[in-house]
Amino acid sequence: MRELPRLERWMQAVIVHPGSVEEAACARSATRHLKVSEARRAILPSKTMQPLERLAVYQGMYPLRMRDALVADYPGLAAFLGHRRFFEFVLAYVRVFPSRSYTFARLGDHVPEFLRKTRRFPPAPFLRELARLERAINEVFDLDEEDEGPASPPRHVSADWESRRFAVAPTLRLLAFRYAAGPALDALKAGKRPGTRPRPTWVALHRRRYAVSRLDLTREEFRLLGALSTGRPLGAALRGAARKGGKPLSPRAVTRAFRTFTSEGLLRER
Amino acid sequence: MGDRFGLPDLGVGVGLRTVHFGHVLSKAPEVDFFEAITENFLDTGGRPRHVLDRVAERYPVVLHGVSMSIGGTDPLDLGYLRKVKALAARVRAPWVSDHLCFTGVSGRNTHDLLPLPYNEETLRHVVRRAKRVSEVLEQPLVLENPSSYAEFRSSTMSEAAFFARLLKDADCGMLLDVNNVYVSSVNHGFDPVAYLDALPADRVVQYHLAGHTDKGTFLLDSHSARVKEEVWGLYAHAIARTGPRATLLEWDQDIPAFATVHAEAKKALKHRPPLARGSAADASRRAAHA
Repeated sequence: MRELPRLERWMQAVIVHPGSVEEAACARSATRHLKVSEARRAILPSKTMQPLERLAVYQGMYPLRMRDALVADYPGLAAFLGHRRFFEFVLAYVRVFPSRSYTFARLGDHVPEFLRKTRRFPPAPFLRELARLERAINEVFDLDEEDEGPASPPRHVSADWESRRFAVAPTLRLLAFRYAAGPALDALKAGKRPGTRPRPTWVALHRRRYAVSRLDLTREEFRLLGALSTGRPLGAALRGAARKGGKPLSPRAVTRAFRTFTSEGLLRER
Repeated sequence: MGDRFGLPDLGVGVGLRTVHFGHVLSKAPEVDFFEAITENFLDTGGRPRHVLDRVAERYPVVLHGVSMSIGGTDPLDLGYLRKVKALAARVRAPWVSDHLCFTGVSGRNTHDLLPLPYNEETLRHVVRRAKRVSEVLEQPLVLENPSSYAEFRSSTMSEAAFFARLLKDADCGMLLDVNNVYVSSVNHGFDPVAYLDALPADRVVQYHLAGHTDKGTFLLDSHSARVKEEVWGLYAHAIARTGPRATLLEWDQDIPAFATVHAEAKKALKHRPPLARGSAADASRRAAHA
């Protein structure tokens, strides 16, 4: 087998090239497989199209497919950048991180990483955090864990409350952001422009009845839930949440947090 | 006249699409079967998988892939194939199909169905890989003719002739996309009826129908519209040769309400008999699904 690998590599090199099809056929990535003179003869003309025009059909569709896949996974990022800038983003992104999977679901895995490395798409620190949230939402959506049924609230406060441990929803993911990624995503979905100034926020994501839910948390709630998710008993988790610069949670705040955690199905008795 | 593999005529089906998930689950429309895009359900434990499981409880489901890259020159992805096999077992798919094409090379996936040169070298290569895939899947692979926009000068035989030899040498089934035959016939200037007549009728397992778009200098297989009259004509010709086979409508862009898609699919019943409930064909379909 000699010709087939060469033709396939050449055709792919032309299709994924971001320039015109003429530029693509002359690019080093293509000519290392087929010289320009060979390339012009490799494809037959049709009654209405020249060989390279025919290849341009495939070349034109490639970035559109990549864009459609990334819009589906990063609707907030796409809305923030707008149609033209997002398309530029897609072209830049797939040059660095082309699809290497049989599924489009993996195409956007490196978007936060890409935004950490590039300065072409400001405000990059904000967009990176927005992308990190959207990627986490996609991950939770596809998790294998089964959804839990409605949570049974923890028993009423009892004498052993300090030593009690809780199980968390199997799809729970806790994320801390330096920007208000959650509210920004809400704003973008509503067609509004979000604030892009740094503001620390904390989020719990989980999946319930196959829909991803986001719960915005205080820092102390975030730490409490994080500690409980590691299996620490409630007393130690509360003390831990109050350390590291956090404010101690008042009894009322603890009650409110537990009510929210249980009604959302995040916590249950072990 | 059945196919040589004894696979059931599933009747007239519709491609399972995300926008219709709610309708299909809540209304349980009277559809003969569904086809699911394989890759959309391989790596998710979320709603797509949940919906597919519910659909498979009620309807026969066949799997249709877009990333096997049977003509690709990278090694076959055995991990992918094992996942396909597991999913097929999970939904009790009577067959698994993909396309005669390559989708990428050097570890990259363009997610397009790229054309192959039709010559002896490619034939040997694809036959070898199709046999290997059938071994892994433990069932004959079913391959679809793609629509194409370019032809290689190094082709030494027509696509139909290539397919006929491939199907025999690799012992594969064919998913005959009549719209793709028409689109490619216009783009490359061949006789679509001669194409259909060159195929071994007993290896056709399933039909695809779809709409296309006239872009002026070529036809685009857009799956964005109703089936054109010329394509219905080819379907009538093909089904007269093969006898009734599972027939599925694809609609992937500007997708209308489920009822509209289903009504378009059921136009196939002008050209093929309906699956009579309780008939031998229906019993075969149900047995395959049981």
